Amino acid sequence: MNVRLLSLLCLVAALMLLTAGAALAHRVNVFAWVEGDTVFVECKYPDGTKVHEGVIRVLDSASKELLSGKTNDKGEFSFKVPKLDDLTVVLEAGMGHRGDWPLSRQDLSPAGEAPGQTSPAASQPAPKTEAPAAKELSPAAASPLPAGIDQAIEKALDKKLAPVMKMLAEMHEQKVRLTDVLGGLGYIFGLVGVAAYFKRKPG
Amino acid sequence: MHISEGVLSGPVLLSGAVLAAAGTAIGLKKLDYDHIAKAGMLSGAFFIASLIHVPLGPTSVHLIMNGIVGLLLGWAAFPAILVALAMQAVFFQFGGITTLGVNTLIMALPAVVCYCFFAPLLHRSPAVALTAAFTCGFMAVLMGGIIVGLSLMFTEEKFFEVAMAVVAAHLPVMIIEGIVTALCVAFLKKVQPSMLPGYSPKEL
Repeated sequence: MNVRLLSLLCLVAALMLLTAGAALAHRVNVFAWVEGDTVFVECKYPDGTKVHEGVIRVLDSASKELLSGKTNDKGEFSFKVPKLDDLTVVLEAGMGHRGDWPLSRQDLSPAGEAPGQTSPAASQPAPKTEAPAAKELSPAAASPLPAGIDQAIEKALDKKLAPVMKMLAEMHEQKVRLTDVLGGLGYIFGLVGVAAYFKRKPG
Repeated sequence: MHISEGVLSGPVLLSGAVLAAAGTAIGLKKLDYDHIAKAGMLSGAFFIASLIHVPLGPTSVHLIMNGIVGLLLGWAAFPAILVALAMQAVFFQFGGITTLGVNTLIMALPAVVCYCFFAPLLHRSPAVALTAAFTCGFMAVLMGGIIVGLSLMFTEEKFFEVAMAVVAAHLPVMIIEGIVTALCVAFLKKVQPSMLPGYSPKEL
């Protein structure tokens, strides 16, 4: 008898483990923001569970797929801006769950300019290798300063703005509110009244 | 169990909508004056049930309640579920307006099927009635999962995989729904037997 109970418990535990991977919500939330030339995507179910292994597809304005990938365990995904265009980030979380987030050309334009300045990533190593030579000649010259400051500001801004972006992402999540619940119930009861009116017995 | 917008192809959406409309028409035709209030209450319960998250391990699932709705309403489950889903789509962004037909079919068709199978058993002995109620709640979710798989089959995902995934993920819900349905039926049998289908005052 005890063995049977134990095996039943094991079965229940196994079932729970099996189902752990799939969060069952009706909706998935996608939030994408641009930092530098990289787009970060965060995916969550409405109850806050992260979407892992969700398929991300990035579409351009002609709905052509530019790139795709999968979210990690934290429900995050990032990619370099592939093209200066109105992009749509689409998340497909399986079982019919789908969400999208539009990224307009303006959102991407700061990122578009960055590569335009002969890309900071590429210019960064260059001054470093030249730096020793420059120091020998005139240590006080410091001519690459503007470029360095530029980059420092961008980095600092990204760092400072990260929590703000997170907050925006959280605000964007549409949680179910009491007013929604009461409103829906009100409609249902109202419809009951309408149905009762039309089905009323004459006389 | 709600399918989001933009997942299904046009023909699937259209046939889902047509079938749901037919079911709703039958339901409205069969819904007489005396049962309107009951349908409204159950529609409201269905609307709220999706908000009741049951924590299960690291994730949480929510109730669907299509079994009990079908058992108590029969064909009227179609209009009741349609209205509740429309409200969920508008207020909670669950599912969507274009997928309303398919989603209604996913949840209301199993409800009606369960009604046909299990409603006649409710007035038997308590043991039979409770088993029927449990199976009803269980099967309604199971069939819903199978219809989800069927409707996704025509787009990109494989039927068997999706149906298995949906069913496996909903196993805890099925068990919980079965228990909830059985408790509801046991309660109604005692307190308000006139709410159960096939009730005749002779039994008093």
